[in-house]
Amino acid sequence: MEALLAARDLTKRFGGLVAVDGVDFDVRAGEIVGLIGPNGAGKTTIFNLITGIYPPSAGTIRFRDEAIAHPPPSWLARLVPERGRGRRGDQVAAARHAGPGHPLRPHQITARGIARTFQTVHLFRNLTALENVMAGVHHRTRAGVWGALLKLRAQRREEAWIVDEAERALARLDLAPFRDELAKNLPYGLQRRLEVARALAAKPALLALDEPAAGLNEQETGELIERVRAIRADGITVFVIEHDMAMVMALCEHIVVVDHGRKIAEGTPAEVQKNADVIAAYLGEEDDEDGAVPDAQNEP
Amino acid sequence: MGVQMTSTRAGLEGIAAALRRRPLIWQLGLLALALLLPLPLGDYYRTVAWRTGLYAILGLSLTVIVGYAGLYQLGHAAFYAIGAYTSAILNLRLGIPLLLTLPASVCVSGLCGYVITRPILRLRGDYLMIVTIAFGEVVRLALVNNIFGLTGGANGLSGIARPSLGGFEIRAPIHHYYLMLFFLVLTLAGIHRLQHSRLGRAWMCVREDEEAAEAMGIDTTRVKLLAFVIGSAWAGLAGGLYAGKLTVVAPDIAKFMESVVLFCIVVLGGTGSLPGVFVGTLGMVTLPELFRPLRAWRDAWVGVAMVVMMIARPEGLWPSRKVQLEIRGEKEEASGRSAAAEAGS
Repeated sequence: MEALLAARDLTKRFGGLVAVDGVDFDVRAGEIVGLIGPNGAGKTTIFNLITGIYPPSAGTIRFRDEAIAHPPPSWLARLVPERGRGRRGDQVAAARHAGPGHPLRPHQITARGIARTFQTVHLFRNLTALENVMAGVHHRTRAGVWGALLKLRAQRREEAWIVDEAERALARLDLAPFRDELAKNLPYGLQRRLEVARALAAKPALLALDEPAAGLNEQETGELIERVRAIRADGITVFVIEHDMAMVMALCEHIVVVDHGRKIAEGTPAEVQKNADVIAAYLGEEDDEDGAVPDAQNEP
Repeated sequence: MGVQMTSTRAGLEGIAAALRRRPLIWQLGLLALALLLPLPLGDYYRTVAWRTGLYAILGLSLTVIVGYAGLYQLGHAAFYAIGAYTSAILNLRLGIPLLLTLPASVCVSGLCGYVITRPILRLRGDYLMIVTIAFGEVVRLALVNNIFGLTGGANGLSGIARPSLGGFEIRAPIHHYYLMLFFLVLTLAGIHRLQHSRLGRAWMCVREDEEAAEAMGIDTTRVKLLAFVIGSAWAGLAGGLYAGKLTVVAPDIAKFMESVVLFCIVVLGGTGSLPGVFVGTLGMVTLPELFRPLRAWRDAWVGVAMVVMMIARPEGLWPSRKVQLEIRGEKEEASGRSAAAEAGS
């Protein structure tokens, strides 16, 4: 199966620190893929590279056979202003440039079909749940300044459609009763769910979840697993960063393990669990603080 | 908050709720009031009313930039001046009737707004503000130095024709007032529609959390640019109206203090709030005009008002609910954090 998302030799340096070092992985369409590793391994950095928050120092990421992340062109090339504004402009520019042009900005990557949630909840706190989800619908609509000023019929129809879409997105994650609640007044678990609803409203082909189970109790985590499976059943590929091992092993079909910026293992949950490098990364090679030596066979 | 609900209070709240359901009632009421206002007044107060309306238009144009997109613009008077001078130059040099120069004023100011902000939009709040202050001064000095031989130097340009509608020349203050009122209503309608549109929502999202907005597919650069261009273009319109009334334009209208007053109108009235702009205008412009002693102390009045407001009520006198929530929320978080820190130490 052709990979939906493919990273090749992905590298990101922040000054002297190499956060991501030559990482390769594939995410195939329709899969639920996990990205795990100890803290500081570079997982969120990889997500940020995928969603265009900064460009890689080396390597590429291809999404649906288009290079969405690549090192930026030389500073000289950067003086030339971006060709084309707006979505049509992007497609024109992309078609013209066989090689790398300006790095894509996050909103352009969202328009291409990747939506994400964040490690810490990044909702629009003083907006209602409905307004938050309406933001996700933004890039799927067109109405601009003139449509708004003149209240053209097309604009009014589009506005009604946006509200409908947003309500549908809320209902899908059982958030309809909280439609008019301010995001900051929602309990934490619901905020996390709202962030997912907002990302889904953007109709992505790939949903990137950054630690969606953080701070959730066991029951909420179980619900989350079910919801992610339902999302996948709708045809959306899911790429998850998680620390909750039980959840990852239960949910993901394919797992990529990184440590200190490098990929150390990739495979099914069973394969990854038995991998010596993975165990060493999480538990340490030498005896741990209590003096006990980790027993590879008995670890979960 | 234990306030007892007396029957009068309940009655008032009932009326308020009814008005909220049918906004057209109080909107038409206000319009009628505005139409009737200048009739009993003398020429001097009619001019004061005109100035109030003009600064309200300017305040509304600035609230799009500051209140909706959240960009600190302390050089807004520059676009006001560019609009005024554009009208003046087109009228004096090419004999174009003043009302027909207004679209040109809008376009030139908007274009200047675009050119200035395109390269600096990535800047953080404070740095953006510094650049806007600099731009304001650059424009003023360019006007003083008679740039392109067009702007008439320190004395500016005079002898601008008055606006005329099909042969009827708009000369008396009351007629200027009605012309200005027409544009004020137009401005209010336009801004209200923008606020409740896809673009208005995008502005709110960018103001709330720019990174999340970008991740959700909102082109934050374009959205901020639109706010700036729309605000600047509309200030140009106000400049054209000014040129038509005073028939003289001078570089003074681009000075920094002018931008400060406009900024205060928006912030003290309530950032991002339409009624707030009117409250701000009344405080910053109308009050000093009505009370002679205050006029001499106007600059000091602006300073004192700012300090008092920032301490007592930073969200402004008539804030929009969203901004009030933001500012109160920040204060609670900050005091919560410092209380926690104190408890922990």
